[in-house]
Formats: sequence, C-alpha cells, structure tokens
Amino acid sequence: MSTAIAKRGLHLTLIGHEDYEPVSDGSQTIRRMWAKDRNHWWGSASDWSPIIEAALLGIRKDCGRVSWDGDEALPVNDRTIDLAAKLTECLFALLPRGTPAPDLIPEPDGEICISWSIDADRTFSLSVGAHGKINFSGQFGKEGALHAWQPIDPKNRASLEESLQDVARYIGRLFPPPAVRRVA
Amino acid sequence: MPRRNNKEKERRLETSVCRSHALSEPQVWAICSEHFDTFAPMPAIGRGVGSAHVVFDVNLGFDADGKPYPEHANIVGWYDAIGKPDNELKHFWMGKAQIMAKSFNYVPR
Repeated sequence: MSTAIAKRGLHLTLIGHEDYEPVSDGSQTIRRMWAKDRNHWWGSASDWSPIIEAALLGIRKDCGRVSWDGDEALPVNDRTIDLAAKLTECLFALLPRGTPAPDLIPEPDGEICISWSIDADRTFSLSVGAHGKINFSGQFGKEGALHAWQPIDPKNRASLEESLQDVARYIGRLFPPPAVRRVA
Repeated sequence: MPRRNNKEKERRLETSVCRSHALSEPQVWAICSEHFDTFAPMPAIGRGVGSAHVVFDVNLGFDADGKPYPEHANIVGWYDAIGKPDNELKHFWMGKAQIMAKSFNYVPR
C-alpha cells in the first residue's frame, strides 16, 4: 500500500527514515539520545519565533484557496493562522527552555497541525482550527498513548495558558529533563 | 488521516491509498503522475509504503473500489458518531494515524 507525499512551498514536512531498527533497550536509548541531540541543534526554544513565522507565512501563501492540495482541501484561513501563532507563542512560554520548535503542517480540513516528533514511538500532534477547539494525540513509547479534544479561549491569554497546561505537560513528556549525574 | 467523501450521501470517512504490492516502481510512479501530480500544486517527492496488516492491526479495513484506477482502495472504518462535529472526533483519527505512521516507510521518488 502506498500514499503519495508532496513538498509544499517553503515548508517541507520532515519524515524520519532509518533502515536500522534498534532492538535492545540500550540501542533504543542510544537512538533516543541521538534524536534528542539532533532536535537540540535543529531548533531549540531560543529560535522558535522565526521558524513559526516562516512556516505560517508559507501556509498563508500556499493554502489560502479552496483545493490548495488539488484534492478539494478547505482553505486555511487567517483566523486559523492567527490562532496557531497564539497557541505556539503560548506553548513556547509554558514549555521548558530548550524544547525544540514544532513542525507546522496545513491539513485538508483547513486546520493546522502543530507537531513534535522524537522518533516513530514518541510523537505529539495538536490540530487547531477556527472553531476554537484543539484535538490532540500523543504516542509516548512504553509510557502509553492518549488522544482527546478540548475547547480553548484565545481572546484571553490567561485562560489560553490555563487551558494549555495539560497539553504542555504532554509535550514535556517527549523531552524529559537530562538526568543529573552525581560525582561519587 | 481520513477525509469525508462528500460525493456520497453517507459522507463516509476515507483515506485514499494505492495497492502497490504487485507493482514495479515505474508502474507506481506512472499512477502517481496521472492521478496525483496532475491535480496537486507540486509533484510528489516520495511515497509512504506500509503493509495492509498495519491497517488491520488498528481495526480499520479496506474498500478496494478500483476507482479511478484498478489499484485504488480506501482505508475505511474510522470512528464516526452521528450528531458530533468532526472537530470533536478528529483526535480519534489522529490517534490511529499516529499508530499506523510508525509502520510506514518513506521511499523517495
């Protein structure tokens, strides 16, 4: 079974691909450390803003009309783009410094997916549209998975932050703080 | 992720795929050129390849409709609930899509 993958304008959806599949716990830990290191250098919390702005600019340019994907996709409107900007700004404030910037991916239903991916087993995505609700889903390896929706109130920064507290905690599970090594 | 088929009354949730198991690479890309590239703003740069069992493992199925080309099928069986808006159901579909995505491999064009 195959499904086509296309590049859209400025933004390229990154897809991890490695032939090597770690089996042992040790190998899986090493792979996770590589991924974490790659993410650290690729987009740390200090440079979210230019990454987000460039991605949203690309979405505004490429996905604002009906059928932007050639398959009857709904347009991603300005309200959704502004909401995605507010959400990412708010999450940036809530997440620990060093958390990598997310991918922003336009969706055929006119929403924007905000996504973090460490590897195939550890990923978190939330989808935002003009309707004022977010849908989210996460895979946390051996720690399980979750998915849900919730309303958000973007007009008020305080209530937006309050409603995103749980989501920020879920994202934080992808990026656990480094272990502190004690000298004997 | 599924889309609603608005051309039919039931507005079933479907994810369009190509049954590529028995096809050569040139045959796959010929289908892509004719049925994807001609409609999309940019041609495909690659494809995601997975086994059918990945779909069955998450309790979804196939409707091999053979339209608009013989190898075409739709992944069906996505959770749906009458009276609930799609923006309260999407997380169910995201959850299944994330599980399936781990078993798809990217093959560049």
